[in-house]
Amino acid sequence: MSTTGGALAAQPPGVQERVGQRMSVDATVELPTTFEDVFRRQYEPMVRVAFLLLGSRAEAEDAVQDALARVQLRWARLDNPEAYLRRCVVNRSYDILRRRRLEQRFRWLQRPETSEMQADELSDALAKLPAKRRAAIVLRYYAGLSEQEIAEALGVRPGTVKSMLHRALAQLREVIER
Amino acid sequence: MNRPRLEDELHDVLHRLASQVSAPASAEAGQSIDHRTGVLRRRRQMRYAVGGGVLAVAVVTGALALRGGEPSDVETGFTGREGSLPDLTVDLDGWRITSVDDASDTTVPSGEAPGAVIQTGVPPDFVPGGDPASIWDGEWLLGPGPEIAPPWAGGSRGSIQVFRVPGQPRGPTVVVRLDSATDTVVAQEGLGEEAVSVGERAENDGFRNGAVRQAGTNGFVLKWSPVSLGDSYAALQSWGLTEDQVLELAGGLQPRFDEAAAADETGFEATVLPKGLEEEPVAAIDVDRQERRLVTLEGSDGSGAEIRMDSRGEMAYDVFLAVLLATSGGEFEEVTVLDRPALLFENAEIGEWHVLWRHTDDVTVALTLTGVDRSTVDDVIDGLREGSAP
Repeated sequence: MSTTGGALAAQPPGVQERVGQRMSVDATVELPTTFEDVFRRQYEPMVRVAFLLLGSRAEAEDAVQDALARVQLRWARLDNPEAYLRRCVVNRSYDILRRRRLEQRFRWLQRPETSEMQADELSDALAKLPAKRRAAIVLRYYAGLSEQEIAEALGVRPGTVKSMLHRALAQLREVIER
Repeated sequence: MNRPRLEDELHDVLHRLASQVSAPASAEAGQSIDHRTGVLRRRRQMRYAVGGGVLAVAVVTGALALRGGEPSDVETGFTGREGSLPDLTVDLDGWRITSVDDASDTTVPSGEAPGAVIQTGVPPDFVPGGDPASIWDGEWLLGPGPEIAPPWAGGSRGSIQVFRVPGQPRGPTVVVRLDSATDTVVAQEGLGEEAVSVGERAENDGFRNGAVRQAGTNGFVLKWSPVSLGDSYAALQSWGLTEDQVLELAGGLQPRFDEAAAADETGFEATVLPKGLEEEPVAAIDVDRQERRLVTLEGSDGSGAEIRMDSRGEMAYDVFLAVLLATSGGEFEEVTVLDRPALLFENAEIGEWHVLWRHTDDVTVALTLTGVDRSTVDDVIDGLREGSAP
């Protein structure tokens, strides 16, 4: 994962030093000019984000490879390929989660709901968050994205992100303080 | 000892969990991405071809055969496949298979035969549910006209709802689809679309989150990105309603679950329904028998045809019927196909003919013909037979 400090000036007070290290390089690093750049720099960070959403490395890589294929296909038309990639990764992860739910609902493929993540109280609570709230938490506290960037990744308004984070944190507190 | 701040704990826990995964940008990963890109590109090209009206006739499942003036000219078959979809054969002169998309099997027939090219590597879930490019590319049912996806196009994702006047299947109809998307809807002037605001929040903010265009003499296609559902798109096809009524109806559609990720599986509550329309229940998907197949062919003169088969019973038939009613302005002719009652629709605006019938209680077949005259339609209908080519 690219681990740079990044431009965290937009982070809220008290959070700035503890939110995730940004996935994108900071301003001193050259912006990606080729698809290869994006692939090299973002593949592992994106797999890790997807892993945090899905709990499965194989599915995370599947989601990210699919998302990168879409980025590559549209490369010439993308103004901000990394933002588009984040959005694709989140949405491909949603697709996988939906498929899981359907599989469970219809007992179609009998896929056991297992996670490769090492469990503890907080990670258990994270896993129980609705998908969008979990995505907001991961993008904020792991990827270190701003509310605006999270909004772009999730396709919602920044105000909605604020609300989602607030509700997610409240839900997590409720679980871990029981 | 006090517990650390939750935000700090989250940071630590998430980084600890993520550190379990090592996934370098390897050559193998790059090759996999390149392969996926190639598959997407081929699908897109195919959709453009389909959307452009270069369709052909087709057929089949267990066996497929097209024969021209000389039987050896175009004949290919793949046999031994199990399933509920029927074997159909059509004799047409000078046509060739351009693709076979099969949503039922993980193994797609492959190989080449004289006069026929079968696309290989089409995965079972061949509709990219998360990429709205599929909307523009004509993946949606029946080419460039209607853009409402039947269960066929959406697989088991998303929702489809039908609104019409009870007991009047030929009356005003609205079919609404809600599904996942990566991008927001943008009006495409090249398709004759006009940017519009859908929903009170979008109207208040002057946010053009939708695109509308007329379809047929009495119908509209509206696509929009619901403001409260960030990763979803919605689309509807109407006929028998004015544009204002359509926009009002769409603006009054409330997701059944506002924030749940499952909202696009459960659809909308309609708060505004003009002209006595009511939601008509659509039969549930039976995932145990969801076999689907699309075979596409093209003729040497630019004519084309598709046959869609869908084994999901009444739901598939209801949706196909509603969409075809919408695009034909409610007009159809009753015909007979393979001794079964069928409906023939003409979409004169884009030069398409559609034949719809329930082949069995489970299987619906929709045949689309493009660039042909009525006599050819009759020839195709008369030429259909069950079973593989001799």
